[in-house]
Amino acid sequence: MSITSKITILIIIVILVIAGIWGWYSTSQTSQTNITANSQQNTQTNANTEPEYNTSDAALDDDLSSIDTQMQDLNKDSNNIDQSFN
Amino acid sequence: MKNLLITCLILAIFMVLPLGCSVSAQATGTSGILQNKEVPADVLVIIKNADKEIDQRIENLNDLITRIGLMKKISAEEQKTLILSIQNEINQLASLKTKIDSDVDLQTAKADYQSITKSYRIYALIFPQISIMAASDRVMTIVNSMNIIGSKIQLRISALDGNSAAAMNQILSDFTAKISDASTQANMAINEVSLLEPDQGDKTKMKANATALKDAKEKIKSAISSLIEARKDLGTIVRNLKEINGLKN
Repeated sequence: MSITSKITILIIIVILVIAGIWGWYSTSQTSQTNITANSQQNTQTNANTEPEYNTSDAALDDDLSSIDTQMQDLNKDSNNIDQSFN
Repeated sequence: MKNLLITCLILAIFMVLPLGCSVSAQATGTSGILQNKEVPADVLVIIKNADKEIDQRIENLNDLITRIGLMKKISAEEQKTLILSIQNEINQLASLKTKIDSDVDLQTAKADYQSITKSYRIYALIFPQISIMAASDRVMTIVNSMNIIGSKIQLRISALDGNSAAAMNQILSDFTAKISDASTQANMAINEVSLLEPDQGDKTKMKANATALKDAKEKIKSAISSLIEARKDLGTIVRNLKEINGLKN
């Protein structure tokens, strides 16, 4: 085999290796982008998800209980206002 | 190997030495200064009382910073501004404390003690101002929660027959008016106090600030009354809904 043929084969091998690496790299990048996009989409979906819109008696009781807790905190805030004026 | 150990030992000593000096300096602190001076007993009493009063104010101001961090309806920018003004007040009080701690003269100590209340009037503004804003923020949060329950109840009522629905809608309408009033009062209270500035000795400004704070306080009280009434309405509607549900089942 002539030297020219050997060099040609070597160049082809190098090109194939480079193409392989480039192909693998771009595939992994695309995959990574998809994962990130999916992850962001999931996060956004979770953030936008409203709490369960339950109108049952039990759910309304829970809601009232939560309001009462907040009203108690408001009472403390009101006492703080009174103290701050002394 | 031996040389290496000796070098490490020397290095360690040089590293630890300044630390030891620092700790020793801190340990002497205020009491060290006082011990080195001949401080009359009456001055020491004033210093003790002043320290106690300043510490209490700083503690209250730090509590306000924590409360601001919990606000949900006040913008991050407004929160930052409020926290900065409080932090500034804390720093000034800490400086005053340092000065009072070094007083040896009775007249100076008395004047410094009086300045806690006289010169630091900003405290008299900040404390009620933030307390009102915190309460307003809470009112708005409760209004938000009540609105959600209101829409749930509306759904339940829409499934009832004509007569039952009419009675319920009347209470719901009253409930809606109450939370709307609470929201209006809270918003007005926030607008009234959020832009108040320290009077810096200006008596006209001091009077205007006091009037605004008092008025905002009344608005919060009114908002709270409306919320209490709205809560009663909610209780009545939910109770009625349960009864109707029970009759159906």
